[in-house]
Formats: sequence, C-alpha cells, structure tokens
Amino acid sequence: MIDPLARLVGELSRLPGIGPKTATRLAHHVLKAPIGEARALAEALIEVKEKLFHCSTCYSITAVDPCRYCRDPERNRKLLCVVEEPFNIEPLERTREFKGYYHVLMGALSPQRGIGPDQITLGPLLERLEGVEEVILATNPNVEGEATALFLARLLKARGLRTTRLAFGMPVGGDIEYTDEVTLGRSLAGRQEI
Amino acid sequence: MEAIYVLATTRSFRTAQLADCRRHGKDGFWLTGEIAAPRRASLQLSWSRGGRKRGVNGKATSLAEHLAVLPVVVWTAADADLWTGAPALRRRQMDRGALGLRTSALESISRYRQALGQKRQLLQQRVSKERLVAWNGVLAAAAATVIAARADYVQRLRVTLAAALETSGLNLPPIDLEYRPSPSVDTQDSSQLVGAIEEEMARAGTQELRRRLVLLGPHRDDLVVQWQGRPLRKVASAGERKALGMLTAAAHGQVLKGSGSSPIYLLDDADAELAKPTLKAVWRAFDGISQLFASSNRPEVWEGLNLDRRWLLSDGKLSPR
Ligand SMILES: [Zn+2]
Repeated sequence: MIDPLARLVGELSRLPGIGPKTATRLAHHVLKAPIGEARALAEALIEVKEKLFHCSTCYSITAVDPCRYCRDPERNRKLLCVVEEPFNIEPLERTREFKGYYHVLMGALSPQRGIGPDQITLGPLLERLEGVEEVILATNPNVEGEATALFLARLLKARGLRTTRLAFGMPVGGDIEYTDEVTLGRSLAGRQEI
Repeated sequence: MEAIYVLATTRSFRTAQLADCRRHGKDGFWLTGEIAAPRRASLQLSWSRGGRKRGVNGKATSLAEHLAVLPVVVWTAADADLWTGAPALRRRQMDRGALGLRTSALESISRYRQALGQKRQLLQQRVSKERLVAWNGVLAAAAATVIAARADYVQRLRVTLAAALETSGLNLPPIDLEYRPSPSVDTQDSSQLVGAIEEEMARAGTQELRRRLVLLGPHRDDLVVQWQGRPLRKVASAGERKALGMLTAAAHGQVLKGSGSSPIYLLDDADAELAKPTLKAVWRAFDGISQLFASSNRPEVWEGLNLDRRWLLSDGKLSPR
C-alpha cells in the first residue's frame, strides 16, 4: 500500500503552481487539521466535479444549463466576447463594461501543445453567430492568444462580422487573469478593430 | 569575468547550462555585486536545482530591468570568428546590440522565438496554407520590431567601427557593414514594415509547407562585412579578422556609450593570438572607457599597455603583480 501521506503529497503536487515543497507543506497542514476540516475539503473537491459542468452554449462553468450569463435576457445579443478559459469571464464581469454574451474557447491555438482549431470550441462558436454584430476577441495577449485572435478574426470577418481586440494597455505577454479591472475596463472600452 | 557576466546577464558566455558554473561538488551558487555608477544599485543572482533567482536591490524584477542595470561588452575566443563564422554569431551580436540600446527589445525577441517555435511545429503537420496566416501575423509583428532594432544598431555600429579602425591606426582598408534582413524589406519605412514582412511571408507559404521550414524571418538575417566590395572572409588574413573582431567589441561598447549607458568590458583570452604591435593598436580603441577586465595566458602581451592593475592566476588563486 502507498503511504497515505505520500499519496496526498503526490496528488497535491499535480495541481498547477504547486511544487513538491508546497505540496508537502499543504499535506502536513491537512494532517494537523481537525477531521471536519479535512472532510469539508474532500467534499468540496468532489462537489465541484459532480455538480459543476460546462454550459452547453458558452462553455463557462455552471451548475445549471444554460448558465446565468446565457440565461440573462438583459444582455446585448449583438455583442459576443470570446475568451480562452472559463476563469477569464469573471474579471471581465467585474469591469461592468461589458453587457454582451460570452464564448469560452477552452484553450488557445498552440501547435506545440497539439491544439488546433478542432481542439477548441470553434465549431460551437460558428453555430451561435446569428444576430451577433461584433465579436470581441479577448484572448490573452501572449503569442498563442494573439494567433488565436488573428485566426478567428479572419474567419469571422469573412462572415461579415465586426471583430475587435482589447486595446491592451495591459502588460503584453500577461494574462487577462492578472490584469486589474480598471485596466481591463479601459481595454474593453478602447477595443480596436482587427 | 564569467561571474560578472552571469550576474549582469543571467547567462554564461561559456556554457548554456548555469549548472556548469557552480564549484565542483556544490549544489548551487550565489552572486552579488554593487554597481556604483551611473546609478547605485545591487544585483543578485543565484542558481540551484530549483532554477535561477534574479534580484535588483534585493527585489525580484523582470529580466529586462535586470539587464538594464549592468550593461556588459564581452569578447571571448568564440567571438574571434564573428565576421567569418556562422551567421548565428552575427545575429547574436545584433541582438546584444539591440538589447544594449533598449532592454525592451527582449520582449520582441522572445515573442519572435516563441511564435517561430509554434510555426515550425505547425509546418511539421500537414496543414493548409490558410493555417499559417495567423502565425505569420504574430511573427511579422514581432519580426518588424526585431528588424528595426537590429537595423538601428547596425547603423550605429557602422559609425563606431569605422572610428575604432581609425583610432587603432591599423593599416586595414575601410570596411562596409551591410545588414541583410529576412525578408528583404526596406527598414527605413517603419510604418509599412509589418505589412511588408507579412506579405513576403504569405508569398513563401507554399515553399515553406513543401520544405517544412520557416524560410523567412529575422532568424535568417545576416550582417555582411565587405572590404572594398569584397567579402571579408575571402580577403582578410586570420590575424586581420581577429583584430577586427576585437575592434568590433570596442565599437559595440561605443554604441552603448552613445546611447547613455556605461558598459563594463570583459575580454577573455584577450590577446586573441595577435602579434604584439597589432594588439597594441587594437588596444587603443579601448582607450578612455570606464572599466575593463581582460585575461590572457600570454602575460608578456600586456607589456607596454596602459593597465591599472594586474593579477596572476595560479593554482586557482589570484595574486597582485
Ligand atoms: Zn452559457
């Protein structure tokens, strides 16, 4: 049998940003904590996997389908904002600048990681363009995100859509995830046609 | 000298692996340096199996900020072939120059490398020409900045190298530096640069897909030196080429100085196997610079040169001479 502590350290160190040192520290923290706390953590882990899934329309994370963004009738049908990951939506929401709908690509083009147009949610995106006038390409300002935006812009413009890109005053090569809401709000307001 | 270089640039001029820089039998190393002028600052760099850690004044900073603190001009035996060796040497020289002028060039250089790696991978798959377009767009944007920065550097180097040649008094014919960007575009017209590069890349698409190679872009740039219209590699003697290599280091330093930085010079194996009178002439081009460290295993070559201090390295120990 594998040593339970080694197993926990092993599982924790599979998480992004957690190295063996941090994993060991976390595991010892759990070991010292009351059983109730450890159980709550274990249950929370199971619960997100059992109760949450991707919205069948926009691919954001949700407990009900369609998600709260897709169900919201107050939003502007003509505006669609494309992001790479579900967690990119929240920072954009916080800016209160954007009142349209979202589409999560579930990644960005990266030949080196084997991610092509078929590995992102491109097909579903192309199927939900009816009534849309402008697509905001809010992929990350790194090399993969830029290439993805340029790739989508060509496809969408051929269908007569206006395509825009955030006016990144945000650090180039950075992530939407790490950009503060004021900066992000400004980049949304100052978005430019590509 | 390697320690200063590693501290200043976070890389070694001798090896690609910082692991090779640690003392025998040790797990890592730690470097720190105090810079007195033009601005007071301290630099830190450590390496262990966990990776390298940078610091400026004890705080973590971006690589570009780190590089700006202590500009260095380095010359090693490997640079002796600068003008006649592989083009990669000259591209490295141009990037050192571009970074020396503006550390922000680092951003474009690394973006270009990343996009290039992605396009190379894409060409290995059987894709349509359409699929290259987006990557060409990213590549062209980064390439335009890299090409403009290299062109700017070469223009300045042309002037300072001519001056260094003249100062040396060496009896060499006037040289001509020509930057050959890939694709071949007009570097003066900066507003059209991205579009022009992208257009050329699109034109090369079919060929690239067939050969599965990225045929255009600054990774194929070259810098050509000619003597009276003839390529240097055909007309210059080995000694002349080496002398010119060291003069280039001096000229490179003058370019950086001209843009307001005061670099520190590191010349490893600095005699370059040159005859004493030639070395003395080359040395004149280094006159009046702020700080220079040089090493040689032919101590007699230093005689007659204007030096502040000399040390002898023997059995791993430095002793003043
Ligand atoms: Zn949804």
